[in-house]
Amino acid sequence: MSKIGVFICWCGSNISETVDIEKTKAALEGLPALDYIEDYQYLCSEIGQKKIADAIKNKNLSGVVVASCSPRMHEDTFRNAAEDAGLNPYLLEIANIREHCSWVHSNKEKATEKSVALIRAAINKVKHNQPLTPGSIPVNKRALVIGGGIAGIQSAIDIAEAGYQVDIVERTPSIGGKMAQIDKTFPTLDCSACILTPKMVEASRHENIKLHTYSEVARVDGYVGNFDVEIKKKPRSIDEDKCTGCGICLEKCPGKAPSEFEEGLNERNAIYTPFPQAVPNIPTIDRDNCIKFEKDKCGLCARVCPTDAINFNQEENIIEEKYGIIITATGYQLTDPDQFGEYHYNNPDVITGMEFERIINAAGPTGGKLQRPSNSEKPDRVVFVQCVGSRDKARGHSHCSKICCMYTAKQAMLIREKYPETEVYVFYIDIRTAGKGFEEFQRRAQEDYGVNYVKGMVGKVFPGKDKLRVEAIDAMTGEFLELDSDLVILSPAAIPDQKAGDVSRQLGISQGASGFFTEAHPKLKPVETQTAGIFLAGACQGPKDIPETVAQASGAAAKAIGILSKDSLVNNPCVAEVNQADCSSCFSCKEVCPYSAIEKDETEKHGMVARVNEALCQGCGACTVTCRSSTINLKGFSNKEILSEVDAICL
Amino acid sequence: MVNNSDKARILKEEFLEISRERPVDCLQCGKCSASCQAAKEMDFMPHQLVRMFHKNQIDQVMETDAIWACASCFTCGARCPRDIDLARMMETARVLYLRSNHKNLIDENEIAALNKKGLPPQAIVAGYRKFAK
Repeated sequence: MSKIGVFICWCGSNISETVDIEKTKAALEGLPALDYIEDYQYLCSEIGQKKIADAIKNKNLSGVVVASCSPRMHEDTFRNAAEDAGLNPYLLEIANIREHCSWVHSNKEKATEKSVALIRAAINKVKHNQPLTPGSIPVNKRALVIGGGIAGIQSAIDIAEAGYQVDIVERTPSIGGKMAQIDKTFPTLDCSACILTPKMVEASRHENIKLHTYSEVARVDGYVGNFDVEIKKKPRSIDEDKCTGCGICLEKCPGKAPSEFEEGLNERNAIYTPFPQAVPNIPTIDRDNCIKFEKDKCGLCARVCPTDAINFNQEENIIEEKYGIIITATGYQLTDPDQFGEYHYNNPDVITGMEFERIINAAGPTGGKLQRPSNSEKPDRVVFVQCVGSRDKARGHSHCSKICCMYTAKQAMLIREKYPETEVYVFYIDIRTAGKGFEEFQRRAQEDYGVNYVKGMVGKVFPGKDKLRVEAIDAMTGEFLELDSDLVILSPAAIPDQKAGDVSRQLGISQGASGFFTEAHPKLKPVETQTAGIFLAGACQGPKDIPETVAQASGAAAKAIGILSKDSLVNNPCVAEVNQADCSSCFSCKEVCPYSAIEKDETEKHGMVARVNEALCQGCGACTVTCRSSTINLKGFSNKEILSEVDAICL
Repeated sequence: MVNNSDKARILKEEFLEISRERPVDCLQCGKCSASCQAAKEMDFMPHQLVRMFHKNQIDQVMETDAIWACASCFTCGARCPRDIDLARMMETARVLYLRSNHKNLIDENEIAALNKKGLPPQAIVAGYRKFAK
């Protein structure tokens, strides 16, 4: 015989103002299942919790209903109190009479009636509740970081420092990412490479970090604590153990291709390291542009290599590894300005902000000299165009790319600093400089460096005989402007990396507007994903500057360490359960499951039937309503429990 | 100031109904004006007209020369980052002007007779569109 206790909370006056507590109690008192009833002003307080615990012990209650706020608020508080008093926590139910009743109604009489109904429903449910015990899953104490930019590097270092093994998988031949390409950082004007390279070296030298460069994640299976991952190591055509990084091969190679690192502004060899400080300092043969692979001739690199490290026959290598957690740090890319025909990006003198970073960088293709790519002359007038594809729901992306206002201010100042006689115009829609010291930095561009900021957009960049004619407006005065300029620098929208879609599918994490990965909660779970054990770091989640990226990377690492430091994980016992005897093997459940938690199970007794992987199941219940034979039940929310709640309200 | 007089609001409703465009979407970036080949000939720039539409100042827009300088080339709408078809708004302003300033070219009661006379229905509709009120 179940003995059920009901505890009604006033929530100060949040509940008691709209719900008549005495009348509620009176209405419930005659119920046969009810054994004990009590009310208190703040049940969540220590005194309130003690009241519940004492009643459980003294009255030997077999089920408890707490009529209070939303279970999201204090379910854990009350269940912990029940557990301490010796009651299985899943035998305690919350009747939400605050968010679902007192807060949304003003008629006290009817609200009281409703709160009685809600409490009766909870009593009916708790009668059928079963004690549940969380299971445990083991944890592989190894982390996978996808992406070797500053976000991935920072996460990896933090996890490695905590004493766990980390693998970084990087698609390109070197770690470093976008930050390695940038000349200076805002608002401090630090040399970007100078502050990044020590971290790159630290990552490569750290005893707990293993780099898989020129590699991609091929397959991901499993769940938190137990991810099975296949990493595809693309053939570098270099024996990494033999190569000393002497660089003789680089000098002799006659094959040419546009340099990715230099944004295509100059050429690299077919055998190349992306940039001098590349980590690892091992060249890669770009087989698409190598004469040996094209025509089976040349082979010069192999002849000059003093250690015989060149291996034209190297093959793709698949590495299998188990991980406890995964950090996604796949970063961003700039949208292709070619789709905005009016800017004539195909003209060499129309460039992107990232191309400018390479031009102004002392190690870049022009040795740091500001030159027009078309004729290597110094520009007299430079025009910056903001929001190329950002804030553009028609042809681009509706989001604000966040970083452009600041890097444009930086670039404009760098030009005026080095070339005071060059005129600089910035055309913008709005200037957004939220960030520590950012507004002051941007104002300096206008006040101290004489950069001409014009509120208004550029309608057209028209390549003339020598100059580029820029047609724009000053929206404030309503003036139509025609400027002959030498260099036009576009700020294209920051969008997720081109492979983000693949990563999202492999990991089972979702992408939001514009394709950025979605965090589990925009305020309170900004580094988690909906999938347990997978975390986000950096611009793959949304446009970010370097400090924000580093902060999030460390946050993701902290979350990862939280899991890696445990020997086993407790899983939520409220997971789906299949009664295999009744399963009709339609596998509709498998299709609707957002967590890939339903597997086909070959059983001797029932043949091929559905089975729930309890470690993957998040308890959403989609399968239970899809199941044609109603044979799937969500523990803690079984069909019987839910229907008895409905009965209490309707009958 | 936003014109909140009854007359202005009725005109705004009419404007929204005919144009099916939402001036409230506008960011005031000025892309339309910068792209407009006729902007130099206009007394108000296209983006300023959108602002006036937004502020219920349709009657003022109707008095501008700008709406007649518009060549209906649709460049503004093609490049607008907010997907606003400004050319439609311009046409709406012209239609409202014509409707408010002219008598009916065709008397409603004559339509049946004109039809019988063999006047192409397109011509009747076109005439009626411009001078409906």
